Amino acid sequence: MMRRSRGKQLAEAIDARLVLHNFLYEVPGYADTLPYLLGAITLSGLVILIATGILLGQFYAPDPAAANTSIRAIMAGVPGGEILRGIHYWAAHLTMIVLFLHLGRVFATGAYRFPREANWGVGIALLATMLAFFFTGTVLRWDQEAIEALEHNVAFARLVGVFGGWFSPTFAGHVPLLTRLYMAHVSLLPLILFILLSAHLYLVRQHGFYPGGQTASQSRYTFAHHLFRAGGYGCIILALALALAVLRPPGEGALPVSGIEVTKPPWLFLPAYGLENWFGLPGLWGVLVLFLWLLAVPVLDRSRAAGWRGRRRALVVGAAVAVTVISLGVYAYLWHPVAHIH
Amino acid sequence: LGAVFLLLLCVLGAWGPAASAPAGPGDALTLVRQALAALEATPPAVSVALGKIIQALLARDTRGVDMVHVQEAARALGVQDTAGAVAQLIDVLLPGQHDAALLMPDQPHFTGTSIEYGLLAAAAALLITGALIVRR
Repeated sequence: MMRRSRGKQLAEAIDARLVLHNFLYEVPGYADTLPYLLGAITLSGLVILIATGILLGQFYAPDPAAANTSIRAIMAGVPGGEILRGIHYWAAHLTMIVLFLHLGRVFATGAYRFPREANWGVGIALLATMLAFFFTGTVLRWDQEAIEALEHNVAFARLVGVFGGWFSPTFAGHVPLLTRLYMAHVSLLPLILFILLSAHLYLVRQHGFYPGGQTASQSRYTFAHHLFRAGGYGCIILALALALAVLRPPGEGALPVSGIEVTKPPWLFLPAYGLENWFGLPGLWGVLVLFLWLLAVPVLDRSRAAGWRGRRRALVVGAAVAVTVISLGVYAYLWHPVAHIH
Repeated sequence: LGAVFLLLLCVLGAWGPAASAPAGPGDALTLVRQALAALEATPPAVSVALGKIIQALLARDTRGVDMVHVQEAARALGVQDTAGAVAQLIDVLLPGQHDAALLMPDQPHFTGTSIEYGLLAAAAALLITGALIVRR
């Protein structure tokens, strides 16, 4: 009895300082379903990526002369390094899949409409940030695929002129671009992610979960429960990443050489690669057009209808865009590597 | 805030020295490395590698390259012996500063060790834990 009382006192003392009871606010019952948990599951994936990334960062040398060797050292010389890298690698892929599903759910339910337009914009910025994380992570491997990705980065930076300045090797001639992209991967992008994520979660808290045609009569539960369930899905993501790290460990390519294009990018960037196959480097403007369209979606779809009905045009356009992007990706996957720069 | 910061970085970059496109290297050493990269791609880009090897054979700057090995590599590719060509190209590069291991991809595989099965068991335990949490 005394012990329980002390435990309760401790909990009250902690809550008085951290105001944790704020997480006990009620959320609608439909927020307990998988489609509405996808955002929180993405957050769980991010936690795995940050934890494994911090550990990997202790052993990675962000210098062109040492990067490839340091990754091989992580795989061969660091206890558990190969598995840790495998979890980071696969968790990144799984998190991006969940993120795309989250984007699809928000689009399909029309949750971007008034008053959530700003949060949709923040979400699109988060998507761009996550893609930047994935891209810089690919370059950090410093193998042939990495150097070709970097050369595309530099070539596109030239194409966009003023706005590509930071991505140019001449921005800081005495610091290798690889080192600056590592800095972006471990400090600049996490800072942007933190700011955007804070804004995203704040706006979700303010506006609440979008009903999307669901009835509010379903049983209600708390946001803490929502996070707890997302943690459960986080365990599942970690389990899948661990199993894949064992069964399909990521390798490390040979030392890279510039001036040749013989690899293809990871699946995320295959649609952009497909555009490059058709239109050359300027095809990458298509990615910008896609993001501008995504940002404009709340302006283009002003319907007030809840759920699916009354939003047929938006859904057809969204499906057409998704099919186009996926088709470009499949085409690029099936097609042989093409030289776009050299 | 992040977007403003990035914009600032972009503008700062624009004031830096003008970027210039690198000239294509024509030395045999670089061409041999490019040929090796082409052969190590998945699937191997044999025609690209053959082109680079021919360019290497015609290169004026052959410093640090044993051209006999380059010829052997070309011969191996002629009979579709990709592995033989890779071995010859690595021999070309070895007398230089490169570690042989770094010139080859390092691709680990599942080998069924007790540690690997232990990790798979841990993954299964995590999966069950996650499923139990989700179903609560």
